[in-house]
Amino acid sequence: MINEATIKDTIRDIIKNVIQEELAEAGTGSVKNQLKVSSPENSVEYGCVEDVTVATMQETFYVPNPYDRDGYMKMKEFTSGRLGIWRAGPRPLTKAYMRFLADHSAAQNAVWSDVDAALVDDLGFIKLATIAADKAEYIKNPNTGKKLTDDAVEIVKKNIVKNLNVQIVFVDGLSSRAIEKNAADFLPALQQGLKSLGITFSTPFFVTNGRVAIGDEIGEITDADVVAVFCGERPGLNSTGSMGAYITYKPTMGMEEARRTVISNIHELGTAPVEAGAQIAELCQTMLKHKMSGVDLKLV
Amino acid sequence: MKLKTVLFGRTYQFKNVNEVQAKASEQKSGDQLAGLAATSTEERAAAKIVLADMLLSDIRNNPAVPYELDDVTRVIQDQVNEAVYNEIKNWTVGDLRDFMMLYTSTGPIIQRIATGLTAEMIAAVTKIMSNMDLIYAAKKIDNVATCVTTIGQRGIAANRALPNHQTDDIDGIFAELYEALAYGVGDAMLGLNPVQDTVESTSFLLQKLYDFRMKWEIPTQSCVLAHITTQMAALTKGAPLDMIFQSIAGTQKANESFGVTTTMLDDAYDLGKRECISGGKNIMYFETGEGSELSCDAHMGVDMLTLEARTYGYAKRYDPFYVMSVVGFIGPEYIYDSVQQLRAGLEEHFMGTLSLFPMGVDVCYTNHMPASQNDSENLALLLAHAGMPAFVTAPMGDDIMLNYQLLGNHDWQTLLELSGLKRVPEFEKWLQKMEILDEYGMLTEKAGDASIFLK
Repeated sequence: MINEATIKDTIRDIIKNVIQEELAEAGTGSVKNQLKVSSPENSVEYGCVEDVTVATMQETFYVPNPYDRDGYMKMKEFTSGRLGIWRAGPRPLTKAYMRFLADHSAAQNAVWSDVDAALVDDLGFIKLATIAADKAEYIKNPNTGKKLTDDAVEIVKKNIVKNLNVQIVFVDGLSSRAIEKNAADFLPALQQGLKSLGITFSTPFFVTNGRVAIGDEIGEITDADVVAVFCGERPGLNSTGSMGAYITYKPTMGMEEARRTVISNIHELGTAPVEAGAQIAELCQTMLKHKMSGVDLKLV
Repeated sequence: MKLKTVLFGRTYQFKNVNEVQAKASEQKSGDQLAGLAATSTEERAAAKIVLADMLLSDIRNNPAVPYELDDVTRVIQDQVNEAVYNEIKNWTVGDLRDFMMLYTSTGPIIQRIATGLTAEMIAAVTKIMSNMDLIYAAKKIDNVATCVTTIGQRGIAANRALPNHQTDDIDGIFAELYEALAYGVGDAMLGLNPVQDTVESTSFLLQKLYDFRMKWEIPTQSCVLAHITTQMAALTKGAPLDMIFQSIAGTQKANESFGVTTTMLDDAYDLGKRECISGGKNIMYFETGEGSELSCDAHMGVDMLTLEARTYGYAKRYDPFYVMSVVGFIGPEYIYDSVQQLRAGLEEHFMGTLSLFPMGVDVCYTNHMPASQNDSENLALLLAHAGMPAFVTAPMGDDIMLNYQLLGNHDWQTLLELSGLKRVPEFEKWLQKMEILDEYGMLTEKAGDASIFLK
């Protein structure tokens, strides 16, 4: 009768043999692969798959035999929707689907990534954090994005400038990409505009995992006349880097949303960042003059 | 009323019906945000067990928001068929679930019992049903409604074209609309969410949609989803409305924050019955979404699913053409990810169905939600399987105005083929006349070419 130890030994031997055989096969395989790669027509250095994100939606057109091609192209100029993208059977073409995947990945990444730390340093931002432990908490519980940590409160207090006109605050919000794409062009234009109008402003704060209302807490601490919050907007497939401006005269925590003056869609295809900077400087001047913002200011 | 159970030697004591309902709910970020959710899976199981054993009369007698305080409660309680209710008031919630699963409980049999249910009972039974239970029960029931055309019949699924545009540009809107029709989309309605909420703009858009339908003889209905007061004013001034739309919620306070009261809805319903041009008897259309009450601080300590059921109970008063929940639109702080989205979609379709009108779900997500088109496709297949009568799609699933992703126009034909469903018959015939569909309902070589409407 064969005992247990003998059976185990036999199995061990079989397994060892199998593994050795497989390794040997894999070895030959990898040699073959190396040969393949080194042949010129398969070289990794020669080709590049086309960047599917370059063409605008208006330029993208795949219908093979349209009834009215010129009319179709003209029609597409009126919308950034995904029109004229044709099909394989009932399904979208591979190229239309790949474009969607690319755009969706960018939109999600805009939310779930952090603003490049080097950019934050280059622009001389003072960094602040909210009580949100991480992105997931901040997304699940928006209230955590409306409250500074104790450390952040101390930092704000240390940087109070007496009798300040405009407190500038950048917030990642729902698109870090919006800050990355727009802040570098926008900020100098804003600062230049404010300076030329004789309006004082501070070194900008930058808040991670923050919502628009974080500016209210900062405003209460600094007592600046106007708090100008620039925040990443919820990304769409065609606009992942859109920044919104939320500007308030003497904001207070828990105030009505109607007190904010909002300029949305600041990005290269919307209101250009440089243009927005100048426009917002003038808006700050109007607010300082009338000592109000939001719906009230509209009625002036 | 028993509010306590023991699991594995540990006692779970709940304070009241609302706490049992909240803790018996499947995990959703909105209930966690409101501090109402079960704090462990065991506690959730215990709450479901207590809920399954609760009498329907206990739920009737303990509405989620007191009768005196809230007119949504009053509407729901007052429309219960008392004779039917008396037959079933001593059933437990578990008995109700078992009843719906029986082979002898056919659609009409369940529809009759449903006239004796309150929204809170519907929410309760939903919480003790599995996903397949929800699909199995919902699939038995056909709620049929007519505006211009009829939806909800067995084997028929309809779809809304969504031609939204960032600036209400009329050329942009029609480009999107042509594209939808070229893919055989639009029999539920041509339904536009406008950016501008003025009587003038709403009337203009309604007239354009109407003229287009008349010119091409398209058998469907249209809607411009402005505020109800705007639509009423437009209708009074002679704009061609087939139906009247409004977003509604599950508490009086939440509805007030939408600028809506029961008196206003009653007036709109009366006006619509007199002046809407559709010819059908179902002239109201509602949209809903879990989390809307919490987002305006009007949830009154009640969980999202119960509030959603109450919203449907409220909608039922107006015999709507259909109701649509925008499941993943309100945001990840309410419906966090694809797991919660899928469950919520099946729950909402079942609850709407038990509320006795055609129920639709906008299968969708926002970009700050951990979800993708794959998840929407999964849920769409399940809902088609459950017999959901109304869907909505946009070009490649992208709403360029509201910045969220829903099902794509391409998904519609695919879904019908995979699920063995047909479009609304008149609309299918029209598509065949336009040579977009062939005699078998498959796409022709012309399908997908929106320029055929440039004639």
